Amino acid sequence: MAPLLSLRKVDRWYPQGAGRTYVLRQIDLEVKEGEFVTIMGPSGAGKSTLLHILGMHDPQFEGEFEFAGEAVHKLPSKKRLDLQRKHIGFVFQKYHLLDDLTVAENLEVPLSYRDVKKTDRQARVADVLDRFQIVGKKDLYPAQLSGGQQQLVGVARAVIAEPSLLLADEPTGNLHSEQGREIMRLFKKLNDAGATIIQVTHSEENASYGHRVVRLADGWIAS
Amino acid sequence: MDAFLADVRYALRRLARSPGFTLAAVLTLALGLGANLAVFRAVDRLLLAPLPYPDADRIVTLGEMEARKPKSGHSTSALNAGEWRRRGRSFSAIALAHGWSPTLTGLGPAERLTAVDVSPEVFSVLGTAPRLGRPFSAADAVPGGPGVTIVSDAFFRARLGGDPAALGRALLLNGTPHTVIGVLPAGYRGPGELQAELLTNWQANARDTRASRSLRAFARLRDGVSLAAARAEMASISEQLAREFPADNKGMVAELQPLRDALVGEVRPALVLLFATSSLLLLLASVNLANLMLARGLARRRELAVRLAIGASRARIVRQLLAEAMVLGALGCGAGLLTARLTEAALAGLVPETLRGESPLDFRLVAFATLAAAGSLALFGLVPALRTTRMELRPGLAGQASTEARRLPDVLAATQLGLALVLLCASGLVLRTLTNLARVEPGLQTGGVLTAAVQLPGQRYPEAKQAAFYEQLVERLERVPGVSAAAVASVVPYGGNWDRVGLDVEGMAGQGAEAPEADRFIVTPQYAKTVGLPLRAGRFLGPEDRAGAPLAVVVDEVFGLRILNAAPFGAAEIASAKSPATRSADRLANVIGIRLKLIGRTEWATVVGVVGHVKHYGLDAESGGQVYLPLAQSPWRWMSVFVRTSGDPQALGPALRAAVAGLDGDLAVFDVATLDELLQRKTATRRLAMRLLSLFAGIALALAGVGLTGVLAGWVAVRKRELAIRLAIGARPAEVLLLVVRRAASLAGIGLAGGLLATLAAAGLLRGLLFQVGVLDPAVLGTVALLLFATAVAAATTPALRAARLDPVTVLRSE
Repeated sequence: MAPLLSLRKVDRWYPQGAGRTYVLRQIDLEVKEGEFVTIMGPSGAGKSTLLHILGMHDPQFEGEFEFAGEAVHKLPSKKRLDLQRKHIGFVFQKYHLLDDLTVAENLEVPLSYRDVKKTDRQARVADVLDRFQIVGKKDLYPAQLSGGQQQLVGVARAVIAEPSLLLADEPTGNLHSEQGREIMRLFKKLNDAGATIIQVTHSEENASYGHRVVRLADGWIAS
Repeated sequence: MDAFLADVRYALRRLARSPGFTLAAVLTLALGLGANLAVFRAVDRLLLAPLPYPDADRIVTLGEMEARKPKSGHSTSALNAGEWRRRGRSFSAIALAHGWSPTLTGLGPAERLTAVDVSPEVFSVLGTAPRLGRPFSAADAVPGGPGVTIVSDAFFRARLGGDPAALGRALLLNGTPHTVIGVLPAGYRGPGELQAELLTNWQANARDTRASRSLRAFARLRDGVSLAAARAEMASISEQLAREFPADNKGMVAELQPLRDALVGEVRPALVLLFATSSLLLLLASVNLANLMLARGLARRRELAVRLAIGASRARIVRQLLAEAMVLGALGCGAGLLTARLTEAALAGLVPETLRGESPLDFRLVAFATLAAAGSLALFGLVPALRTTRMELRPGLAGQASTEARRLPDVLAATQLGLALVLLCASGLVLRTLTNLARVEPGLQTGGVLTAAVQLPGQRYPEAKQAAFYEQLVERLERVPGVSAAAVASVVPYGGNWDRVGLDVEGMAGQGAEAPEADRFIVTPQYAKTVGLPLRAGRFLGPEDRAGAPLAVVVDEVFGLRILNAAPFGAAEIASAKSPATRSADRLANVIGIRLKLIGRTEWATVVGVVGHVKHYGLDAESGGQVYLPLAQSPWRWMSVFVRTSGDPQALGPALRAAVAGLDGDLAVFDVATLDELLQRKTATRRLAMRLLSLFAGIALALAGVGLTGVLAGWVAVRKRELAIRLAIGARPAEVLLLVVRRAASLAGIGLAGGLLATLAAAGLLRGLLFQVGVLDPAVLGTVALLLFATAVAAATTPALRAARLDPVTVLRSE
């Protein structure tokens, strides 16, 4: 089976004075559909950078990146963003909910950006609220939720548009252990249902929920 | 549409959560838009809205002026107008008009009315007609025929009961019956002199000559004839008349002006300046708002980055930000319409009577308001939206802004300061002008003098009785307690009327049409003492200058010097050790004994004295000089009374009326005003302009100061870590404070430089209002620059103190 995504010889660097600082070096990576992959490594290894390249937030890389048969590295900006909108859901470490919107409205926003009709949006929001058991919180604002609840909403927002790939950047980094386990169990459940997940984490415990670990060190894949 | 409504709902929610920002933004926009809308209304009424006549752009005013002195006058004589009618083909109708102020008697207390003698063509020119009765006919213009009148609708309702049976009734105007033959339409507003309570039938006066240029002419261009073609034809006719009648027409040319130009010409420069400055204020308000929106956008970078990360396109984010701006714009527009009303009241004085009246919310105003709001929106909504969304996602998610994004607020703040400087300079220059004007000697001691017009009806007061009446009136007034002096004169100084005559000077080159002109004042002997007219040489007119005595005349120093400087005069200068004033007085004494004669008269009058020059047309206006003739030798029945008191001159009003009524109860007393008031009116337009400019400048400076405070606060917030490190490694709080203040000063410096360039560029707009002050007046510029820097330092105070009070430990730990 062809992989969902593949990276070949990907480099990412920033200019520094007359030279360059490499954050990623010669990254080769393939992820199949339905896999749950964990990227680990020490601080500064390039984990988040790799995740943002995979999430198509960062186009400034060298090398080849194919996603669902599309050569992402060759796509013009608009088409790349269209591809991202269609296939990618992102979970942030700091949740990044929209503070002036209610829980329900936060869930609806990604659907409105994907031109989903209003009636369909409302139906899908109701469905996700139910699925994540947060119906009672739909009219609350993020400031009224605990950290764990906010991250729960963050995950719900990431999956509501039914992406092919779910990316999570330190999803439990701002949570205490029990909340973190709850989120990881949720990820596991989503993966069992068929979602492809790539997470970045420092936690070995979190890594154990996945199928395999990719370790980065100084921008290189160590293992 | 659905998404747009969602954006608007979200925008309203956000704005409601930031009441301080919302209020500041709405007020800013209200001030800018309000001033702009009010000034536009005045511009619209004066310059854009159609005049209230059919095909008004085909109506022109006709007059004659001296070819060598453009703007020397705009009247004509009946005989010359008759030649225009006979020889010209450019006009379908030429109407003549002469304003007068008759006293109405026999219909309640004697009342002075505004009236205008008009020729029958007037309704053809204006394209209107009486709504009741009939217009004037050719028979009404036959000399010696009965007097008839067409009354205004307001007069018809107020004084004639609105009863159509009043047609045919006779009104006694200056004792002469005038039959009411018609009523004007309710909305009638005549241009210039044609705006009067009564239109009466003009009849030629057999004594008038071609030089009797006392009539205003209005004409309608014939279909297919352009203004240029009409001007060319009239120039040709003027040449013919100058050749055929050189005594009266040599050097005179006909002048045509579109009616609108004739009505608004004087206030156009002030209005254009005001429109420019109010537009500047709107621009400044928009820039201020743009800066606020930009700062808000920078603070929302994380939110916007998240939206981009979860699938929003840049266009979608821009649309969302624009929705917020549109909501603000709509609120600001509504508030702006309210503030527009306040500013409108202040501008009312600029609009001539003809063009006043309710100007409804018509298409032009709505279009202008929409355009102004849209333009403002583009600046304060679109530019920040485009700038804010131009970000890289990862720094955006971390709440970081690019260097370029951080620089824009500085540019906008400096721009605001520059715009404020332009307005401050304009205001300062006009203030300086008013100060300069206040130092100009008006020529008279105007304090404590009350004046009022008392005109005699010709039928009851033939020439023989005119002087006697006024002399008795003066005697009565001199006996009133509180009155230190009283006199009468034919023209009120600074009053807006004038009586210019040509004078032959015996022995001087330049006679007839080339004779020098001066303003004529017919006065009683007490005049100089009453109004404080200084004597320079010889004597003033006295009781000895009676009817039958040798004719006497007094000239002013300007006219005297004109005589002396002209050939063959110019007596040898008395060069001595005497002071310039004494030398000048000695020179002026050489005028005494010279003989003068009014053009068209036979008797010579001898100059018996020289008096000071009076700034009759305004403190900054020049004139050819003044001559004074004794009433006893030049009977006149259109006189004004002057009384001087050491107390409040207004208090003499009742006594003045009583003195007139004691001599003749059927005479009206009108145009009551003090000389001080009349002088003040000469600077009314400038004072209005200064008030408005100062108001706009004050608002501009306040907006710029607030904008700068916001920018500096943002600058401190972004550099919190750097400032904390400085403090941690030994900087004193005062040094950190100075960093912020220096930044404010440097932005003010950039604003100052830009503002100076803009002021220079706008110099042309100001010149018409300035007097004895250049556009780059050092005193004004210096004061304005100091004010700008002071504002900048004041704006920096709060952010600077906040920076100086940073706790480095707390800041660095949180980083």
